Amino acid sequence: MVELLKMKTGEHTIMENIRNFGYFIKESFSNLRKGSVMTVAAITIIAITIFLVGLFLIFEKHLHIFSVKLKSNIKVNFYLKPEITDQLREDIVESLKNRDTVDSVLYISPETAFKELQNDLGMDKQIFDFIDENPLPPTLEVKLKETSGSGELEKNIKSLIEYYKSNEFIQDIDYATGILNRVEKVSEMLREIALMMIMLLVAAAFLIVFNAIKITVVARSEEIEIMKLVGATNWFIRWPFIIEGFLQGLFGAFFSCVVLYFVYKYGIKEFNYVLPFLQMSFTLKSFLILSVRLFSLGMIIGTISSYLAIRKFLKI
Amino acid sequence: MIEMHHVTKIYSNGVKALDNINIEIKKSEFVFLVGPTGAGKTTFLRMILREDSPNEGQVIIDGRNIEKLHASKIPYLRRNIGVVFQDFKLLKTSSVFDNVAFALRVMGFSGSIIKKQVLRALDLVGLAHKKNMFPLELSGGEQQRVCIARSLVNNPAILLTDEPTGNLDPDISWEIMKVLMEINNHGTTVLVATHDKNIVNRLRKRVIALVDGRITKDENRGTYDYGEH
Repeated sequence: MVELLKMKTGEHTIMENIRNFGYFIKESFSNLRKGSVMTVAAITIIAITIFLVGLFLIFEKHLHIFSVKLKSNIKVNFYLKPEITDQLREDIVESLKNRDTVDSVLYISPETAFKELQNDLGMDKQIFDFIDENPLPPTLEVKLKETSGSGELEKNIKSLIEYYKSNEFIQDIDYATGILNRVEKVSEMLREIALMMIMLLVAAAFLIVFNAIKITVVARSEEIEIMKLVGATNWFIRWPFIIEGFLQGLFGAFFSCVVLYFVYKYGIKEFNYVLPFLQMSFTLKSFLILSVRLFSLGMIIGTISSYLAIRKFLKI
Repeated sequence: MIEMHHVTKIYSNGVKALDNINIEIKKSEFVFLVGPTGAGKTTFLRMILREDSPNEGQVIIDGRNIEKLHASKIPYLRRNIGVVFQDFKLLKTSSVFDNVAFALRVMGFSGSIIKKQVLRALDLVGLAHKKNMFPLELSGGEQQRVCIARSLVNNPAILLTDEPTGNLDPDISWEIMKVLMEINNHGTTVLVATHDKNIVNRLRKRVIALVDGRITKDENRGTYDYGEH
């Protein structure tokens, strides 16, 4: 029955790996089951890491929406001198509109402003009975274009003021960037702290998965040696371990997404009560997008760390 | 099939396991490798399997200098070489069938081919009826035969055996030798490292003696002795 085979040294690796895929998956599941404590630890740390990353991404998203909204509402009011002629006023409007940083300019006449004020005050209209002259100046309401970098908007506003403050027909320029700066600073700080925590957690997750896989590899080192001696390629040996790490990442991501779903959906009212200005909202679509990201993260952590763990042990 | 030119192997602890070995073994030859313990027999076999590389010289298998093989090609070399290990190297948690199937599985054969080949190999070593047992439920001789079945299941061009009859009683040893000769009759080059004087003397095959890493004798239809020192 034994026939002499020709020496073959060709590369069949890819085809072999495809044919063996069922075996690889079976092996990795049996490794997972045998691994018990380390497997549970690895899945848990991945789940915790991904859960926190998920929370961070949710807050980050809403903070971003909030600051964009805030920025688009920032206006700079130019109070003009009452004696300004229509022509001069139009000149100022034109020059403002020609500036790169300006989005729109709205003229509010003293009459309109007065009416608005009356409307705003509502019931207390009678105080206007004591005023025989409209005290409000003509106003230009300038809206600036949105900026991406923090502090850039304020810079734009300052250069605008610098440019117009010497104009003899402008009484005063008024703006409110204080709140914006504070929001930007707080969100930046939160982002930095969260990023640092997440980096630490991701590193811990990497280490724990790395060790979990290493323990499986060491426990099976005899088997690996035999595999190598009977002609297994390195990839044949690697695949089950890599799939094992991948599955740990997948399960970790799955558990964290389940918890995150309930926290996101039902906890949102509580969040809005504590931080009402964020106006957080839950949509299935945004949750699914988030889940895709988190699953990818889990699978990347699991796969890369197990690849690194097995790499060290393949040199026989 | 197997050539060694000026092969010298010195281990990191300073032991000179092989000292300027020159040898040629032809296709379909049956060769006994004899010598006292520590003479370098196992190292000799390890060189052929490229488990280890010589410090000097070349090992040529089927016209190919295997030192120049890229690491990723080594598995493909090994698929042409069956090995029967001194310590069997069986997987204790796998059945006899799975232990033999293992060698085909790493090559990516499909299930039906694996089944057919494994049963044929087990039949050849007379263990087909024990295919579902585990190695620890078998005697030493039976474990040895599982190891042999694994080594020949993929019809290798070369079969290396390290003390295949060590610790076995004479009857079983003889059975195992008959299996090895059967394989050799079908064209496989067989190398047997052994201490078994009776078998070597009875079979009268080519005998290569190694003493202190040097070839002291190379004789066709030889007997068991280490030649002149």
